[in-house]
Amino acid sequence: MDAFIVASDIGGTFTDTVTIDADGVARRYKAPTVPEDPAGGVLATLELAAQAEGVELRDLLARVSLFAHGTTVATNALLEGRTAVVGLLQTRGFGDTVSIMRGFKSLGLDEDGVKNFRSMVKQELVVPKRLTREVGERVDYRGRVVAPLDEDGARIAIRELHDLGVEVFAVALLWSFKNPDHERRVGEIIESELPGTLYTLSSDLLPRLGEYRRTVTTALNASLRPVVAHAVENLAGTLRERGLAAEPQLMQSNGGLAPVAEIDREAASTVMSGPVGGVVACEYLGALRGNRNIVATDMGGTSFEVGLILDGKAHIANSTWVGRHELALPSVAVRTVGAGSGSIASVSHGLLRVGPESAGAVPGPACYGRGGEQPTVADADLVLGYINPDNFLAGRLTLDVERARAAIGTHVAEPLGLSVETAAEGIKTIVDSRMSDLIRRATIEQGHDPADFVLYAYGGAGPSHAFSYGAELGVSEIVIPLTASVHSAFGVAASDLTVAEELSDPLLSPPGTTDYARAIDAAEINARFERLGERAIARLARAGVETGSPRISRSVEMRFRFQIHVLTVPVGEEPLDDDGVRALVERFIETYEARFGEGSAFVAAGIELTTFRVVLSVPGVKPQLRMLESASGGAPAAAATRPVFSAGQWTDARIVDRGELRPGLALDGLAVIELEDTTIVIGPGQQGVIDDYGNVVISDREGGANR
Amino acid sequence: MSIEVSRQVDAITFEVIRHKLWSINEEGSATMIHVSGSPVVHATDYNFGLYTAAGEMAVIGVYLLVPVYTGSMAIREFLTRFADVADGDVFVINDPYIAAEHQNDVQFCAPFFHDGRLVAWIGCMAHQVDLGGTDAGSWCPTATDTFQEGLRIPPGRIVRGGQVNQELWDIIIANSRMPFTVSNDFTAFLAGLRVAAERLHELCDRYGPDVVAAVMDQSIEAAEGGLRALLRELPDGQFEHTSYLDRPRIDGEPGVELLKINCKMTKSGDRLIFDYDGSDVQSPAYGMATRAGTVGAVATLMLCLFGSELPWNHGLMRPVEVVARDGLCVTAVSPMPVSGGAAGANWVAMNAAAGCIAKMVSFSERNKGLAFGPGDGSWQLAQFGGLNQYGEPFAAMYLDSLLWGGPAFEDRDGVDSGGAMVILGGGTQDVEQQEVGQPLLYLWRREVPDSGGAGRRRGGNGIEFAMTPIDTEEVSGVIATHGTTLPNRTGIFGGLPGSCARFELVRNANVLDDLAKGRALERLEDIDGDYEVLPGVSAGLPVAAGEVVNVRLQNGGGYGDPVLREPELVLRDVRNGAVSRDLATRIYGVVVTDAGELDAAATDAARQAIREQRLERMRPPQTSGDAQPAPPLTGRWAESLRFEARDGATEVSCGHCGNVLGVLGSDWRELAGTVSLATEELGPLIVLPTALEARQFICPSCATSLWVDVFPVDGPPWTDFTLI
Repeated sequence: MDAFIVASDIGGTFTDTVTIDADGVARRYKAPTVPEDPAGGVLATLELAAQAEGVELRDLLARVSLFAHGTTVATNALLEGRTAVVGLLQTRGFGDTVSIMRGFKSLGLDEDGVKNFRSMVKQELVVPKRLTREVGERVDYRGRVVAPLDEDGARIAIRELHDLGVEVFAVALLWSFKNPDHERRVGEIIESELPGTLYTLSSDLLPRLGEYRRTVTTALNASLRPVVAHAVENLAGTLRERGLAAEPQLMQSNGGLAPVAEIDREAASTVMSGPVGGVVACEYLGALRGNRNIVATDMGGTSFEVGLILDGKAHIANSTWVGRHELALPSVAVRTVGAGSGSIASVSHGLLRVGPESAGAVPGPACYGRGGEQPTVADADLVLGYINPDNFLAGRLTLDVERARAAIGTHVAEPLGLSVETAAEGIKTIVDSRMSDLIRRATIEQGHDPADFVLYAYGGAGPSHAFSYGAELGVSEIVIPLTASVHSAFGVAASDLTVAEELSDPLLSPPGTTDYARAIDAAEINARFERLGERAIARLARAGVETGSPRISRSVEMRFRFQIHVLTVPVGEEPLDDDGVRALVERFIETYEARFGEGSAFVAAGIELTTFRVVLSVPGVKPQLRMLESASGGAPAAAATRPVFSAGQWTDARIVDRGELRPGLALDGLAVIELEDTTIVIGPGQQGVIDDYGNVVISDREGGANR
Repeated sequence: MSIEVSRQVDAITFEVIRHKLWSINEEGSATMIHVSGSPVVHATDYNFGLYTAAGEMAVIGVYLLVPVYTGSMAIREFLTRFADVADGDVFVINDPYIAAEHQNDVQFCAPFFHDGRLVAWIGCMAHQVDLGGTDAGSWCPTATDTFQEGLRIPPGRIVRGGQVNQELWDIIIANSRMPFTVSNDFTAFLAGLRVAAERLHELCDRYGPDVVAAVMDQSIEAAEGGLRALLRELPDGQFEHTSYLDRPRIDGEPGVELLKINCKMTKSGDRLIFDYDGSDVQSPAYGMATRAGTVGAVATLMLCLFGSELPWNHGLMRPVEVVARDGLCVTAVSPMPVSGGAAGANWVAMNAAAGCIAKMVSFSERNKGLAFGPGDGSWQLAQFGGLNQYGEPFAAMYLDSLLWGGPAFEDRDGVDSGGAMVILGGGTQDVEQQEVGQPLLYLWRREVPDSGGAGRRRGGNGIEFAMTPIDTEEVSGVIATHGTTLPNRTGIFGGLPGSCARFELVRNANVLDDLAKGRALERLEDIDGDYEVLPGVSAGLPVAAGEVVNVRLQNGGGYGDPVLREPELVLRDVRNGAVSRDLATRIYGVVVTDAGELDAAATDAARQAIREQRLERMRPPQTSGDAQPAPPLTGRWAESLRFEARDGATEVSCGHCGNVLGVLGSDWRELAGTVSLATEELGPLIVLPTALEARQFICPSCATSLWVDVFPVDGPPWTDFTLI
C-alpha cells in the first residue's frame, strides 16, 4: 500500500487532521481536542481516517511517511499559567530588567488600552521579582569582562531559588551574546548543583542585542521546556505505540518543521505553531495558483489574524506576541486584532463600537442560546441571512435567530433609532472595515499597497466576511481555499523541515562613507555566514536528518547608524566580494526608500549590519493535490435561494451546496456556498469561480479590481 | 477656502471613518519613527495628530502629549498670521512664547486640502537632539535669557507649494551640533505627513471631505458632551491645590528657593476654569514655562483623566479655560529663558491642577475612581556629551529618566517604573542599546524600594541608574530638575508622597578597577571615592572615566491611609523587594517575620500603636465657626469624609468610622485633628526645605489619616474645596 502524509493541527477546541495519499487526494477529519491529552484528539481523527480508508489504525500508521503537527500547547500553557516555575539569574544591578520593562507599561495593549491611563498597568511579570537573583559579573559592549563572575554568589543564588520552589532556570546576563563565557559557567554551576535541572542560556537561545526581550524570551523558553517536552513526548510515544514508524515533526513559529528532538531546547519556538500553519498553507496554495503576493486572513471567534506572503515567501518577523508578552524569536509575522465573530457591539455616548470585547465561546453570541445577552458579529451575520441557522458547526449547534434579533434590537438598534436589520448590517460594516484597516496597515508597513495582493481567507468566519473586507482593499482576487476549515493542518503538511541560526555581531561604516566596500570587509560578512551555515548543518545532523541538498537562505538585518529599526535584506548564496558589498548596501537603500519614500535614506549616518541569519530548509514530501473532479454530467439542481439583507434591503441570494461545486462553475453574487463546516459568501457585483482545486475565487464581475 | 461642517453622519459611517482616522494617524506616526534616526524619537519623545480645519485636536497619538495641544495652538497661529495657507505648504514652529514647550520641540504642521478646500491639518513634533545654545542638547539650565538657548523658529513655511524652503531648512540645520540627525528628523516629519495625507485623500475620495470633516467634528462634540455631562453631576465650587518649584537661587548663592504655583479651579455647571494668578512671577532661572507649555500641560491632564472613558480629542478642552496673567513662572515672556519649560513650572502647574481635579471628582461616587495625585513629578534631565567610544562627537539625553512610578488610584497601586502620564505609550531603550551608542557603562538600572508613596494603594516605585564613562576620558553632563528638595507628588486621601528626585556623583573614583577586583558594588557608598549629592541644576558637569553619576527619580504618591492597606499586599511588596521591612513596620504597621511571613498579631498591635501615637500628637480640631455658603450637601468625599444635609447646613463625619466631625465651615480641615509629620515619617527618600512642613489630618476619633500635604511653615494653607 502507498504512503500517506498526515498533518494535524491541535487547536484549542478542535483537532484537525489532513491526510494526503499518494494520488494527492486530501481528506480532512475533525475531532474535539482533549486539553489534558493532546494525543487523544489526534488519535480520534486518525481513527476516523482509518475507518474512511477501511483499514486498522495500526496499518494506517505504518504507512505514514510523514507525521507533522502544529500545537497550541505552548500558547495555552502561557495563557493559562501552566508553565514551570522559573528562576532567573541576571547581572548584578540589572535584576529588575523584567519588571522595569524599559518603562513600557502599554506593551501589548490595543487602541483603547493605550489611551486609558486609569487602567493602564503592566502585564504580569514573566518571572516575579522574588524568583530573580543577581549574580556578580559584568561584560561590556565589546565583550570584555569588566567584572569577573562571582561563582560562589551564583551557587548560593541557585540554591536559594531552588529552595523557593524553582523548577527550571533562565540565565540572561548583559552582553552575553558578545561573550557567553559567564552564562556558560553559570549553566555548569546549575548542572553541578542541581544535576538534571533544565535551564536556558540567553546566549544560546537568542544571541541578539537588547537585554529586555532576550531576558523575557529566555525566561519564557525555560518555563515552557518541561511542558512542551511532556506534550511532545506523550504524543510521539502514543503514536509510536500504535505503529507510527516515522519520527514526528512539529511546526515552529518560523513556519518550518523541526523533528521533535530538536524542539526541546527551543520550546518557545512553537508558540505560533498553530496560526502560522494557515499562512504556510497559503504560501503553498499560492505557488500552485501562481499568486506571489498574498494576504492570508484568518477570522475566528475572538480574533482576526493577518499574515503576508511576499514574493512567494511567508513574511518572517523578529518577534511575536503571546498575550502581552513579546517573544523575540523569528516567527511568521501574524498581526492580530480583537475582531471576530464573537466581537460585541455596544453603544455609548451615541457612538457604535464593535469589539474589542468578545463573547468568547462561553457564553458566546446571543444566538448560541447559552446565556449570551450582548449582540455580536455572529448575531449580525445570522440576522442578515448570511448564516444558515441549521448549518452551523456542521449542524452541531442550531442558532437562534430570535435571540440574535432581540440582542441587536435592545443594545444597538433601539439606542440608535435604527431597524434591527440596519443595525446588524452596521455591525458587519464596522467589523469588516476594521479588518481591512488592519490588513492595510500590515501591508503598508512592509511598503506594499494592498491592491497588489491576492487575499486568502479561512478560519470560522473568514470565508463569509472576506467578500466585504477584501473588496474594500481593492485586491484583485479573494480566494477561499477548499481546505478553509482545516487550513492550518493543511499548512503543516505543506511545510519544510527548517533550522535557523542567527548572530548579532555588527559591522558598521563611519558617517559620510561613500564606498561601503572600503568600510565593510566582504570577508567579515562571509566569515559570519559560513559560521552560521556550519552551525545549522550541525544541528540538522544532530537531529539525524539527511541534509541532502538543503535550501539555504541568508539574510542580514541592516539599518542606518543611530537608527533603531532594521530592515532584513536577503543575501545570495555565493560569498560576497567588494561589488557584492556595494550591491548589498544599494539593495538596502532601495528597500528603505521603497518603504519610507524617495530621499528618506539617512545615508550620511553610515550603515550598520546588525544581525546575520542563515535558514536551512529541507523540502519535505509535498502534497500533490489532485484537482477537483468535474461533475459527472447533469445540470445543477434548481437553484435554491434565501433572503439576505444587503446594502439596505432584502435580496434573494443563491444558495449553493457542496455537491454542486465543480471546476469552472461561476456564481454571481449575491450567493452563499454552504459547505459542511464553512459558509462562503460572494457579494453583490462579484463573481465566484471554482478553480481546478475546488477553491472559490472571488473577483469583481466587471473583471476589474474589487472596489 | 475652508470646509463648513454642518451635516450629521450616521453612527455606522461614523465608526468606520473614526477607526480609519486612527489608523491613518498611526500610519503617519509609524512612518515618522521609522525614518527618524533619533534615539530620542525612538524613546517616544514625539507625537503625531490630525486636527480639524480650524486647528482642533481630532485624533491624537499616545506619545508625548503636551505638544499635541501646542500643535493646535500653532495651527491657530498659522491661520491667523497667514492669509495664504495653501495646498502643499508645511509650516514649522518651535517658538515657545507662541506655541511650543521649549525650543527642542520642533513642530511641522501641514494643511490638508482636498478638491481645493481646507479639510484638516496634520501635525507632528519630535524633540530635536540639539538646536544650539550654550549646552549640548539645548537644555541650557544656567541660561539667564533666551538668547543663550537653542534657535527660536518663528511661524513660517518649511515647505511652500510642495517645494522645500531650503534656505530656512539650512539655517536651522546650521545651528545644530547634530545636523545629520536633525535633518533626518525633518525628513521623517515630511515622510509621515505625506503618508497621512495620501491616506486622507483616499478617505475623502471615498466618503467625501464633508463627511470626513463631520466625523472629526462629531467626535469632538461627543467628547465635549460627555465631559460636560460628567461635570454637571459634580458640585459647583472652587478647588485649590498648590505645589512648588524648587530651583537654585538666582543670586548664585548655594541653596534653593521655592516658587509657588497655585491653582484655583472653579467649576460651575459644565465649565472648568484653572486660575494660576496666585503663582509667583517669572525669574531668569531654569524651569520657567511659557503659556503654551502650561496650557498644554493642563490639556494633557484633561486627556489622561477623562479620556479613559471619553473620546480622546479637543472636546475635552472645550469646557476648559486657563487663566493666568503674563509674566508668571507659568506664563514666562521673552527674554526669560525657557529651555527647561518642557518640564518645569508647567509640570508643577499640571500637578496643582491634578490635585484640584482629584478633590472635585471625589465628590462623585461614580467618578471618584478617576482621581489620582500628581501624575508626573519632575523630568530629571540627564544629558551627556563629548567624544564617544568611536572617537565621534555625541550628545545623548537619557530617557531612562522617564521611568518613574505612577500615582495610586482608589482601586489600584501606581505602576512601578513606567508610570509616566505625559508619555502614556513611552519608555526607554535597552541598557545594551545605550552602551553600544554612548561611552557610558551602567552600574545598575534598578527599581528603588520604598520610593513610591505609602498608602492604602501604594504609589509606584521608580528607578535609579548609575553610569561611568568608559572608552573615553571624560564626558560632560547637563543635569537639571526640580523636586530635589521637596516632593511634588503628594498623595491623596491620606496617602503619602513619593520620593524626591536626586542626582549623585562619586568623584575621584575608579569604579572599573573596583569592578575588575570583583568587588560587590551594591550602593554608591561601596565605591572608593568622594560621594556628593549634586544640586538640582548643573550644566557642564565633568564626569571623568571611573567616576559615577547616579540618577534617582521622583515617584508616585499613595492613595488612602497606609495602615488600611491589606497586610497580604504589604507582605507581597516586602517579598518582591518593593517595600522594606522597616517601612512596612513603621508606616504600614505590618510586621513581617525574619522568615518572611506575616505576623498578624504583631501587625494588629503595630497598627493600633500608630493610631494611638497620632492621637497623642494631634492638635485638636479648631473650628472658626464660619460656614461654607454652599447649599447643604449629602454624599461622600472619596473615603475620607461623609456629608449629611441637616438643618440647612452640611454635617461632616469621618468616612472611616462615621464619627461626626461637625458642621462644614470654610475649610474641612478645621474639623480634623492635625499631626505635624517629620520628614522621615513620610518615607526614607523624602526631604523638605525649612520653609515647608508636612501635616497629616486625621479623624480625632479613629485616627485614620484623611489627607497628608506639604504646607508653608509660616503661610496660610490653601483650601481644598469651597462649595458654592
